[in-house]
Amino acid sequence: MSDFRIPGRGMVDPGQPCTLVFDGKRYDGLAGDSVASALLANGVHLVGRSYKYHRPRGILSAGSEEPNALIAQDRGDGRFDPNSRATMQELYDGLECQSQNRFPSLAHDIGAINDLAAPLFSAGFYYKTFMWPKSAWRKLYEPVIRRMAGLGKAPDAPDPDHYSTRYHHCDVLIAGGGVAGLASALAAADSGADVVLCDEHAVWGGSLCGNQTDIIDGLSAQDWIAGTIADLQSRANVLLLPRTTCYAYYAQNYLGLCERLSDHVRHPDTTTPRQRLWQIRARRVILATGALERPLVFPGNDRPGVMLASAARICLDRYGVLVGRKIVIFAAEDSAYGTALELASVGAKVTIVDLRPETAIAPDPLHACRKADIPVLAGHVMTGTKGRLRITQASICAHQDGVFGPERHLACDAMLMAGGWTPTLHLYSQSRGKVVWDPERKIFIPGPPVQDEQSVGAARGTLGLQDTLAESFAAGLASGRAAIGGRKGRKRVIIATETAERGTGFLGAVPLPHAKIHARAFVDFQHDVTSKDIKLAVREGFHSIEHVKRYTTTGMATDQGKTSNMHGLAIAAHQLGKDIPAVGLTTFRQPYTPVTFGALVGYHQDALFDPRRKTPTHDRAVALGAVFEPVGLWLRALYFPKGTETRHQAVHRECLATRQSVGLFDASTLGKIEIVGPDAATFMELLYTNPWQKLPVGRCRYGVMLREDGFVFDDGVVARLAPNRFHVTTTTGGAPRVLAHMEDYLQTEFPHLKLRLTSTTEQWATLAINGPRARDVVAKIVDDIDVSAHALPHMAARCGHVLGGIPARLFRISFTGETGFEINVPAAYGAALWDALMLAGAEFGITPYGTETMHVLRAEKGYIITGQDTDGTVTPIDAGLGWAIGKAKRDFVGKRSLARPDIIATERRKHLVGLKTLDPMIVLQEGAQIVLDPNQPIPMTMSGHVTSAYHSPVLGRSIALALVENGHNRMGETVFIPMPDTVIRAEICSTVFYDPTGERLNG
Amino acid sequence: MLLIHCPVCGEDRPETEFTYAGEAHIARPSNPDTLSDADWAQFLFYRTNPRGIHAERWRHTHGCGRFFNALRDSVSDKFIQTYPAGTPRPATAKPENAQ
Amino acid sequence: MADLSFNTVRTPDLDGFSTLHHADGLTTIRLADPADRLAIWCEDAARNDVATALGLALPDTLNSGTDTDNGCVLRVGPEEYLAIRRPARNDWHLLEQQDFGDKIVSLTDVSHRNIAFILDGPNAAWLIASGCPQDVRDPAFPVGKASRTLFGKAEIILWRTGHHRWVIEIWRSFAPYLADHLTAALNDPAIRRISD
Repeated sequence: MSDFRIPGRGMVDPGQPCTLVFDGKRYDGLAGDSVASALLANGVHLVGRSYKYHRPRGILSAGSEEPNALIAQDRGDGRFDPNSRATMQELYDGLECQSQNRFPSLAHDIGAINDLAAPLFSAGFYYKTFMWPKSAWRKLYEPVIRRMAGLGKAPDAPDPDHYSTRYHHCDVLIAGGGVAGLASALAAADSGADVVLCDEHAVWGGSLCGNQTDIIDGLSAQDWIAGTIADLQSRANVLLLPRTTCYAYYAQNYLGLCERLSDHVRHPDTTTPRQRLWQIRARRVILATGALERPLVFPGNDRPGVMLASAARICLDRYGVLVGRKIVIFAAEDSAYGTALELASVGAKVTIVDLRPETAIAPDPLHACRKADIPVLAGHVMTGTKGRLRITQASICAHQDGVFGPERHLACDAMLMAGGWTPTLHLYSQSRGKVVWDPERKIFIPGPPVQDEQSVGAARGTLGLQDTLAESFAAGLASGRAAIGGRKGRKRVIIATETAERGTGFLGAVPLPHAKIHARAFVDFQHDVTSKDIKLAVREGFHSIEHVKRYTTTGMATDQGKTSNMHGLAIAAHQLGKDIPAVGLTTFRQPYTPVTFGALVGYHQDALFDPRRKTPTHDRAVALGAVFEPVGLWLRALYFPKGTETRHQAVHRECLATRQSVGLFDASTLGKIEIVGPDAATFMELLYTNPWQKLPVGRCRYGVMLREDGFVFDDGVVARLAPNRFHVTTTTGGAPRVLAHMEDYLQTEFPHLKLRLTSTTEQWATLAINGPRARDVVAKIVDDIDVSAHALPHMAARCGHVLGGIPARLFRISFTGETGFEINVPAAYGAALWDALMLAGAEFGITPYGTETMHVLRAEKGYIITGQDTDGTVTPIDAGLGWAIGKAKRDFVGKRSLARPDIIATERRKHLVGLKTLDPMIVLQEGAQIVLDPNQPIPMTMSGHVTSAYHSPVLGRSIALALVENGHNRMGETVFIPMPDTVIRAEICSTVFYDPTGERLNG
Repeated sequence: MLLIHCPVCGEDRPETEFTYAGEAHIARPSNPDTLSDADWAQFLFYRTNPRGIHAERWRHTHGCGRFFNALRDSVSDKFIQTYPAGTPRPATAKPENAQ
Repeated sequence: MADLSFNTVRTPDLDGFSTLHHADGLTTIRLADPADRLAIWCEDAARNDVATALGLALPDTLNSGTDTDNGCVLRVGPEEYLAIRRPARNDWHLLEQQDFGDKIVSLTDVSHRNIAFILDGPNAAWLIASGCPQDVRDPAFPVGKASRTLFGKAEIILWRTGHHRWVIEIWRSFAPYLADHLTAALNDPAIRRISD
């Protein structure tokens, strides 16, 4: 048994010993312990070093508000968590963790030299110190600060765990499983509502967890809690979520909860998630989030062994651990007296030092303590502490009305602070509620609800147990009934008594004799902010609490100032001579406590990061060893290397094979939209620049689509299959936005038109066959379509069958400049069509090619790719597509904008042109900037940029497309492309590099 | 995630089913060719961007697919009312946060 | 010659997809048999014409589906329907040629556009809630309701065909993503008690 374990106390299991390894040393703990309680059971208080001064720090709290006891936990296989709170981490056998922010060891830390230099590190230290010289920032200050800054180490291996996410809807969500939450849940469940009750701890009961002295309904608090949980568990309409932090309250009663499923298990099942993120929409919300005990601000209040009174109480009640043998309690309210009695009852020597005069102390607990031989020194203030790595002495003096008595010293091994209770308003405030100052109790409490929620118990400032139960039962019943519109349930009346009720407490820095006012009294333990820092900030002109916060960094650490904000605010208000509400409160933001990235990401990692769309012939490409590239959500074959071919070699071969014989390409990713209805052609006329009314059935046309501002939005080939039916294709990436654009105009601008739009992208597998032998191949697989040149000229479209009965849409179109066909078959037949074409083309050496070859072949012909050769600022005229504009059309989307003065101004616009480098072997870089005069001073005037650049195998030289200012009028001129080591010269030319007359296309 | 009431479905649906589509009640001129450059620019580029109630277009993209209009308070981010496309902007009280 | 049965190749990643079983021993996820699908747009005035051509009644209510032995029709928009028929007869593309005069009617064969999964069992709704933000409890999502919505990052049509039976229609290339997502969700132990 460890030194400070009290047999028979707590909810730990003496039959299940657990070993804890902390900084390499082994400690004995029990199942049910937290890391913090196991350390305390072994008399270990020193657990960390502070952020700025590297001061030794101990365990302050027993909950998630813990600012000091942050540990790094390594569970192997990349499972590394920095900044875990030792107070929240449940112990399992063999748990290994380390302290942080110290070198070489916790007891001997070099960084502690900062503590001696503390006068240098006052508020705003960074802003004042690293001002000059400017050049030192990059070389000296920043590297040094970066090395010193930050808390804990980031893990350096990928997180091997997985995480799950759930959407959930319920009638009543209750955040907080203390007595208030439990009572609310009981009553809400009575009403028949679907109830979710969550608590961040593994066990229920909140501050009364394991409490054996307070009485509820004739039972000890501990027994009442156990009975209530059993009751709730038996109900089908209640979902209990322990180890679940309600970390966020969003609009319309939408709340975020993070459930820890396996962080408390030594060998978690790696097939199940580590954490589960709940996104809950609740009809009604009850906030039973309790209150956080405040420390007191006095010199030396950060020494290990100085902790919150409530933490000591929970250590005893929940963990059966006594935090010290000789304990001084520094109290500013009554609940500490109950704790004192409990600690004394298990053998601790307790002394109470009370800030208040004796007349302000509740008589019953006072007398009970005196009767139990607990000295109570009323009207005293704590002036300092001693002890290098653990408190050994407390210094006190009497005070009354600014007059201080002589200093006295009390030997001790622990000190408890009972500074009063701050309602946990985080979730209420996140719900956009406005907190209200209660001058009587000196607390902020929730104001009127702005969503369907209410706060109960300590979270709304209710101090007594009896009152808490009464209002929680009422709130639960009312919320349940309101949520489901029922009348079920009953009013519950329960009698509760407690040893000492919570009181108001104290805010700000405690009064000190003059000799002590320069001593450091810590407000924010994690960021090492003292009362002096806050006073200094105010003196230097920071009068808004938001500014004070940022200047001093108080409340900006991982604990977000849960124990410090109210003191910081009170000190600032005092210094300003204002009331606390006049200074304001900083905003509470999500999350309440840190949430792992893993939980937020949920399922959306690796294969589930995004849908990975594959075409119907994907596995055929895989079998051929294709290299793939992502295009939007699609995965497309980039090239098909043979043997040891490089990318360049493969593309070279694919290009030439297609130009010389026949190539096969999967174009299934192109967007496809079926436009059907009597007004289909009218709609096409309005949405595309081209004329469509006279396009005969069985013909295709290349269409250009503009936005209303006149810039090219998308393009694609459109086939007219019937007078009232068009088969429209879009770019791969543009498919969803083109359909949305069409729907927008159809629904809102042209709703009178009789046609409808259906996406058929995924209905069809589309294979393109290009090359001089393409027809020979296609002819072998069609059933009932004449593919001869005269029956099926360029831009013809036919519906028929292939492969002995498969319905097909066959288009004679080309994106290569060669004779080309695109065959659409229902998607499930895509692979069969691929196989048939490969077989039919074998005698011609049919060559599958990927997107890279497609890019080269189309660039040789000057066919643009919207989004690559256009960028949302290019008109069809700029792009050389003026021929595609139906000049006689009265209107189409974007037409009026083409007459805008800035668009007519040709000489100032960038035009799409071809570029030939003077050295034919140099391939330009896409995106490279173009200048007209390479000798101009820097910064040069950029006159354009390269949009596409390739080596053309058929031409044996490089080619490029570029947007160049007034480019259409600069044919033959030389432009310059400055690169880091050289300047490349290129000549402006036509965008059509190959077969300008189109003989091959029509062959 | 907000819940948005789709006036076509008659249901409150999760925000991710919807797409925002800009300010409402800006009709495309029926004869753009007759507009001056200034008038066309006004239609194309100028929007009210109010602090307070904003009439805007939404589409229930991953639902019924319909465009509809909404009055939303740009200060509180609350939807005040949704109504079918093509119907006039409803008269409303002042936004909650109006001073 | 190619095998004309639709069972040959669905989509590469779902080849060999076999029914997934939940740890409860009752809930399953399986791939639905191939089907004929017809994307239907029709104005209300043409509903009878379309129903006659199709031989199936169109649902009166938006976001609902009719389920008969001859086929099902889901109404996913005010004028938008999806007809589904099993076993597939592979002839609905012929309906595309039907003339409806001046009425707003658009019929398009999309048999291969979608793939369907059937979730059956007491934890089916739990699995759906792993990726779908809609409230899938009664009465928000009663039996017979069909709604386009999202599952994770993919658009689906969710159709409740029984108290514990759901159909998810999804575009073909998104189907492996959905299958992976549901598989991942299966590995999250259901903690919700099965009450009925």
